[in-house]
Amino acid sequence: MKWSSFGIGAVAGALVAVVFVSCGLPALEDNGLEAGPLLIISGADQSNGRQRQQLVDQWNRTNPDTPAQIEELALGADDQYFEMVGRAQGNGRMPDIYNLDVTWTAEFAERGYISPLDESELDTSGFIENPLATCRYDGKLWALPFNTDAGLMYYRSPDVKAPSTWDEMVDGTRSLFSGPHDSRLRAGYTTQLADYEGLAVNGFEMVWGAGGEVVDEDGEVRIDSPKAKAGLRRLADGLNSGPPQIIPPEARSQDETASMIAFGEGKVAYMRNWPVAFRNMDNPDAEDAKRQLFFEVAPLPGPSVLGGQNLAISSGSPRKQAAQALIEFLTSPRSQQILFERGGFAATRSIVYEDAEVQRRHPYWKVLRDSITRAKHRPVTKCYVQFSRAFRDVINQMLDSEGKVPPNAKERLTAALKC
Amino acid sequence: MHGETNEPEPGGEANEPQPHREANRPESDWKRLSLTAVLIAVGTAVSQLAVQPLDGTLRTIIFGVGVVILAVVGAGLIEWLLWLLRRLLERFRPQRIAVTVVVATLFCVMGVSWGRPAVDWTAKLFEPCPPPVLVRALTTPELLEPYRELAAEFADDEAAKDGSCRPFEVYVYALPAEEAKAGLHAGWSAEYLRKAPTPDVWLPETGMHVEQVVRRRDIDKSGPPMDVTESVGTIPIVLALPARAGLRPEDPEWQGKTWQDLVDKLRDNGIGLIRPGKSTVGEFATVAIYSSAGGATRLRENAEPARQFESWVDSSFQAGRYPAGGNHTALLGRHRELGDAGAAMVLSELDMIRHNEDVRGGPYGPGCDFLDEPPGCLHAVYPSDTYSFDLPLAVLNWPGLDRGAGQRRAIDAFKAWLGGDAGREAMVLEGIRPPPGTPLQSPLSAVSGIIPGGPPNHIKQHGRLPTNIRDEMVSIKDQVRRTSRVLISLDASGSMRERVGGQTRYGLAVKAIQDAHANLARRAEVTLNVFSATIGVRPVDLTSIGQVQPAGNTPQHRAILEGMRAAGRGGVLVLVTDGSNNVPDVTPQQVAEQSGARVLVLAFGEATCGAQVLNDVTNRTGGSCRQASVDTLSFELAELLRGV
Repeated sequence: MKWSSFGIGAVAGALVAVVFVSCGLPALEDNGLEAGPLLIISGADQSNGRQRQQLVDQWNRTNPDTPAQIEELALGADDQYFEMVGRAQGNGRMPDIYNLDVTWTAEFAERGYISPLDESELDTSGFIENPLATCRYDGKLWALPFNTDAGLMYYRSPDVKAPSTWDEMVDGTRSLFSGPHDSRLRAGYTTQLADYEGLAVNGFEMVWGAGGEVVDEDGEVRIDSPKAKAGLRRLADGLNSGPPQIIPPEARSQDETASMIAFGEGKVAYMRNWPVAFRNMDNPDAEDAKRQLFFEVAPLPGPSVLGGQNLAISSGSPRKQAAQALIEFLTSPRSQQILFERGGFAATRSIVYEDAEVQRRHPYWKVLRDSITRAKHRPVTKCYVQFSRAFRDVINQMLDSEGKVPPNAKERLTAALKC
Repeated sequence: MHGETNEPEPGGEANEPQPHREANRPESDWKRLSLTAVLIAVGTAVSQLAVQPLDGTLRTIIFGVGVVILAVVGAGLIEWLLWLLRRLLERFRPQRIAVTVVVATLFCVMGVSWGRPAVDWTAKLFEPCPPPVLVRALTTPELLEPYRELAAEFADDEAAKDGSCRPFEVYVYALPAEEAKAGLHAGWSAEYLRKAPTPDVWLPETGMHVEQVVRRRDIDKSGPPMDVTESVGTIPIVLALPARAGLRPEDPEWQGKTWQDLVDKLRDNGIGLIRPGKSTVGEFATVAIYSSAGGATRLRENAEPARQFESWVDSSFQAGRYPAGGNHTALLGRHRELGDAGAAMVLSELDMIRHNEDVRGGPYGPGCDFLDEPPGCLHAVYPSDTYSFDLPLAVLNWPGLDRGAGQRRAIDAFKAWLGGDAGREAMVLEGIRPPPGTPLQSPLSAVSGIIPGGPPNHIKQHGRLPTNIRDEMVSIKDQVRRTSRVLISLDASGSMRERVGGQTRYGLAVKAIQDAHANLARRAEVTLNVFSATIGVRPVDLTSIGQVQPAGNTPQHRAILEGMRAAGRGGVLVLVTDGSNNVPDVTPQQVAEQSGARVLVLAFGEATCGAQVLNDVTNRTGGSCRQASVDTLSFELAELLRGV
């Protein structure tokens, strides 16, 4: 008798609790989404015509009960990262969606700053496998890829030809300087060697291009292998070469924009840069864009770093279903087509690259798609930001000492990999 | 079997009294009613799931309860249910049930609400390192490097105390002082968020900047309240002399003299003076030099000494081909190229130390201490009336933001570390002078070209530079430098109608020009043009520029050509454009043949500084091009105009 009373009371209590908690949940709209505003925080929209904002405007027209707003952060990756972490730690307005650099997904997942996506109703089959893989961590899907990126080799045509190896690029430079050439030409090749993520990206690509690894598949740091050292030494040798100068000393203070300007000014014949440089140096809408371009693009001699951004739901969001619906909308085939075709953001869905208008507007589409497919991932770790900082320190030290990788580089990078 | 007999009812017991209707209900009735209930439940569930599948456990439970209620009521089993409840109430003690309901409710609510946080908290106990608590610290570009080093040192020291985990992380980033102050006034609005993260702590060069923010807050309540630490260290402004000045260690001919005496001495020796453009160092030096040249009252009556001084500084720039309006990095870059043939410079002691470290080839290279020193070394002279940076630290208490206990601890720890022995020793290693009492060592030593005891022995100027004196002197300077003609030519083609947020590109560009105009007009004669294929190249004024309707193609080449002619020799054309030329009325060759004016370009939208014509014309005329986004137009235009 006594235990039956408790049993009945417990069941009734559970029912009351369910009703009570249900009342505290956000109201559901007809479409099953929690009503209320959605906040996306993201780096500044650099697309032509601000296509991200246009897509959000479109969402707002069809979902007036869940209006979305993009809060744009500074262009620098470090500034974005620290603003996002600050928000995740409660210092500032909590977003519903983070537009994360691909390398931050693991950390945000591990730290509990983002929630996994409900995969049961998601069809991810249309995404290119490589960018989608950056959204997975620890067996779960934490985000969907918003845009992807891969480095390309830009070369001044017809002055030089597309190099398929580093040595071909060096030979091309020497050959160019040995004959009559543009008086503005100062060096062969430039890239992003200022002390920010661009330097780490170039470090990875140089090591991979020489057949080495910075961190292998087992998570072991391999910076002290002969191939890795040989790859990094190419940068130091390029900077210390000359005449002719292979890499100009100014490259050590250049970011994407500065290197693009140097290439545009004719100071170098080759440049490593992201696809954004193509649309910045060429305006397909202008009538005079029909002229012959002064440059062409080719894949990098080795694999590129895989860049891009992923959309993830903040674990502090009270509107997770609405947030997921918005993420699905922004990464849908139609949205991806608009972002690439009109805005120039490399699409994360393979079908977009088959579109005739996309191919017309972005004649480099095939080189880009192939580069994305064979691009490699930076180490997937919650400690990537610390690792990148340590890697950049190692590269800077190596460049300051004519190509000698510091003897304790492996220990420093191993420690950074563990935070 | 059924009929009038006292059959036991569902849930009932055979020997207890039964309600009349239920007692007489034939078994077939129960079966029929039960079947009806099941069919209602199944039907309801199927039709609901067909329309909208359920999502989530909670919704499934709520839905299940609803289906059962509907089925019971719909099948006419309500009486049976009431009978069952009555029986239960008779058999069980209501008070006990009530208490259990309350307790179970509380447990369930706690479980649902706190379950996940409790699991997370428990998991964190076993995590090797929790995420470090972040503090975002804003400083100026000049102090970025040393403060970043100090922040890293602090985090390492705290990690050493806490085992191997880093409990705190201080992220230091920079904005020019004027922008930082404006951002604080604006509550770090979306415009500033696009430039830099929201700061938790502000590390300006001088308490004068803090005072300016506090004063404005007192007037209009803008900006965050601040907890201010007056000074964590100091950096004096020095006169940096090249070797050819013949300076000797502790030379009484130079050390401890006023700025005016030193300027006279430089002129007597045929050595020019380079002063950084828009920077706090440049401002402080200007105020000190003007003050020793008679002060504001005298200069207001007769500005000729100030005019002569500015003219002499200009000729120093031209003689050494230093970049006009350049910051200390650009100026020191040119100075390195010139070596000992360079002019004297106004620098912070910190910048001079870093320059000398470069020419020495690192901290262990040959010293700049007069003995076999490498070419290009600079030597610090400490004017008696020079000012110093007092390096305050302000904790920003943003309204509406409840700072967590973790971040409060992190900020307190950073402040305590900076004020403690470890922080002060680290400051010395970065070239910042800590409060008296901390022994100085390299780089605050003679090998860096400085005098370790220079400030206490030679500088007599103590206290903070008052804001009103600064404002008055800067205004005199702007007045006497008003010599240039500047023509700003704004693209009004159709693409400028593109909307960005609530405004058009054109509207944003007009706002940027209006923002920059007042400051520029103090030192130059400013005129405005707009251009498009529809309206041609047309002069406008500060009011009518906002009324133009952008339309048509982009006669960019014509705008450059006509703009250069209008600005004339010695003038400056500032082209603000979002695209490339698509009106073939002026060839690139015609643009290339035009000379006289200097051309500065602000490129945004689809325009790029890499475009051949823009690139050629800026290079050829000694101008420059800045790539902006629509969000950074005001800032980039202000930066571009620093070169005027």
